[in-house]
Amino acid sequence: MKTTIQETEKQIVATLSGELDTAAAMEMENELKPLYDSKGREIVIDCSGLEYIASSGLRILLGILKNAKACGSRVVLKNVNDVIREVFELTGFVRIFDFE
Amino acid sequence: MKFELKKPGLGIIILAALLLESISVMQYTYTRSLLKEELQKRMEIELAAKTGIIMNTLESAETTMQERLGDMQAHLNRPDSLFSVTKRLIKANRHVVGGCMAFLPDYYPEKGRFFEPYASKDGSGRIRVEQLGGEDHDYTLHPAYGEVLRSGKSIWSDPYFFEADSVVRLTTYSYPLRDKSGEIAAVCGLDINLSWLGDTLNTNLFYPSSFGLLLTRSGKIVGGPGRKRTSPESFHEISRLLKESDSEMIVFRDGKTRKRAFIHRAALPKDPEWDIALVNYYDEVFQPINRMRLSGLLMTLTGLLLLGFIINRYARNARKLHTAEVQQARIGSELQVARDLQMQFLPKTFPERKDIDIYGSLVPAREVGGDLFDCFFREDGRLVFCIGDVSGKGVPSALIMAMIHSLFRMVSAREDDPARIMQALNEEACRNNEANMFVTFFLGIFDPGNGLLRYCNAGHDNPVLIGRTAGKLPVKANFPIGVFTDSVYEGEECTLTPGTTVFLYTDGVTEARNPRREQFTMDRILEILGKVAGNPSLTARKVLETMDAEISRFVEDAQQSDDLTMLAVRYVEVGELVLNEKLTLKNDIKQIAGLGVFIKDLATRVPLPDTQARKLRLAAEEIVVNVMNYAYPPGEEGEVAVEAASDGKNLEITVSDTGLPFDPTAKPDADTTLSVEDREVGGLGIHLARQMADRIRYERRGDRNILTLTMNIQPS
Repeated sequence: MKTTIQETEKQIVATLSGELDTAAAMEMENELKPLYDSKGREIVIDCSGLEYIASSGLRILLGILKNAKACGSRVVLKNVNDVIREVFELTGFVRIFDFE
Repeated sequence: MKFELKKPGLGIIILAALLLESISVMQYTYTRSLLKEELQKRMEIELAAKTGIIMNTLESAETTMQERLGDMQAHLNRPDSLFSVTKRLIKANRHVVGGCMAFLPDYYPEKGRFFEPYASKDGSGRIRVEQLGGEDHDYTLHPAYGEVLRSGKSIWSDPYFFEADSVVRLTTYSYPLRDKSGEIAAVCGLDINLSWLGDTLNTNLFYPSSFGLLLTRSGKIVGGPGRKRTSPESFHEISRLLKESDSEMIVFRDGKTRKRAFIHRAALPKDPEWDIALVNYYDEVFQPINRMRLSGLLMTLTGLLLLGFIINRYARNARKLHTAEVQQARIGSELQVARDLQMQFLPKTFPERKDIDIYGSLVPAREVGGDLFDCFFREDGRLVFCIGDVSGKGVPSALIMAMIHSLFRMVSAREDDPARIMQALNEEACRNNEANMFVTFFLGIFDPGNGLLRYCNAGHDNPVLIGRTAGKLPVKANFPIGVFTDSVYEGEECTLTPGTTVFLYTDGVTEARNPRREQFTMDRILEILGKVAGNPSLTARKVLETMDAEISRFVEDAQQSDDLTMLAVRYVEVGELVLNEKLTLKNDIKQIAGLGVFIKDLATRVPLPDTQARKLRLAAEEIVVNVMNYAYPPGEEGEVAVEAASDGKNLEITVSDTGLPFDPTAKPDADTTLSVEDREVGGLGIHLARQMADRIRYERRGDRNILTLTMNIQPS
């Protein structure tokens, strides 16, 4: 699991790649801390390299989304592959995230 | 009316008590007659065996006589050599203890008027010979001697004691010996020791006080158990009864103990035509059932208490309402009671087996319709299943259903012939049927070993067989049960190929109506099942869910008027195990990566297509993580075992742990429609696991939680 974060004035872009299983999710929670401090900027999560996600990964994304909504930020998921998209659909997450 | 308001359920309790009691009595009588039949069969076998033993002995003596005839005839001209002839006569046969040749008076003038060479064995088997005939031993006075001369045929004597005070019991075979010209020269006798007879008759008996007797044609008891087990009076009485009647089974009542007993008897098939009688006392024959009756009574009482409790609760609620409403609530609660009664008899879980997949459902109408279905595996591994529909609605039909159900359970546990089970159900339904209710009923007994399905249909709709196509199972037009006492039921059979599903339903399905009053119809059932036919990964549950969805779509918002009952039994093709792997993890999330590797490895070996592999990994991970996090108390170390097995068609992952009992399949689905703010952060994992696996089932076995995920392997 690899995470990179790029911050600009308007956006915070997090690029996730690899497999986001339960063990990886615990480590990643720290690395994604900057996303909790969006200060109104748009949060973009680029999933093009993401091959697998477990519910613990979804939980982190949900935490980020809840926090962002409270600060008036938008969360956009980009380049989500079909398998992961199905997981989002089954959990109803498609309705609460924006996809690009 | 006032009384009813106070005790709204009393009527039902009384009705239920009567019903339960009548079920119990009925079970009692039925089992009793079964036990009697069983005894009859056992006795037939035992009598045949004992007859066989006696006949063998007697026939061996007859054979010995035939074999020695030549020897005897050849020596007739040398009377002195006849002593060694008698010696040879008794030597060959171990049952023979003595042998004689009693010649006609004056046959050998030089030997005097009475000449009888005689050989006998002593206790150690040594043979001694002597001449017995004489003025003091006039054998011509012996009845057997005269009888043989008169008839010219051999005869067997009744058993007698060797000497007045002897314990040795003998019988004599007397045979006319003819000389070369065909004239009778002597009457030859063989003495057979029958001392073993009493013991033989009294071994291998089924109950402690049972005993066996041998009686002569004149009814005299000549072999028995010794006086310890019974009295001379009962001997006398038994002997009288057997003389008076020639039936094979007689009931006897002991004068002293007042105990009743069955006497089964059989006669030897030819001369000497003695009777063998075996006596078994009622209290011992029916002992199992008396115990059963007691436990049945206890169960009835418990059931009534429970029912009383339920009704009491409804009644308490009802009292809070206004009088008019009370009336209504009473009707409502009676309906509820009927429904509870109906639901109580339905299987709540279905047997989990690799070779048979079963699923059933009953959606009751507002007014209980009296449908039922049931299935269970017998001890011999065969599956018994049934579906039925009681005519009429409400409490009475629920009660009839309960009665039929319990009788069905009891009879089909041991009876192999579906037609005979149906016969028994019909007789009972007719006997307790003042309301003229009848039941359409289908029952099947399926042997997964050879695929043989034996079934009997009593006026129920044809089940549907789903194989490569879907079609009606042909059934004979038998009457529904409860119509005529003398209805005859014909059973049928067919062999199912693996992969076949039997779909059963009641008319609640065919006659489901939409708001335009159109019916769902059999044709629609066949059409829908035709579409799912041929699907190798079809499951029983899937069949019912498909049908259910189609019915809901069809009826729209029309109110359901009858119970909707369906049962599917699928004969699953079981392949050989091609893969079997195990992985053990500690309850430490850091080890979860090992599971990913394990599943990926499995997926390439099976092989499992990528999409399925990802789904399986996700499902397994969610389940395993859940166990790691919650199965053991915080801080306690525990293990999670992950096992994988595949037969090439399915891949099964079994996750087990020794933690707290927890059934993830019982959790309600997470609500996935909520807004961001309302979404819980937890609860998604299990939801996902359930969605990802083709099948998920939980079982608590001993101290283990066992969760099995199944994927139907799709060809890649």
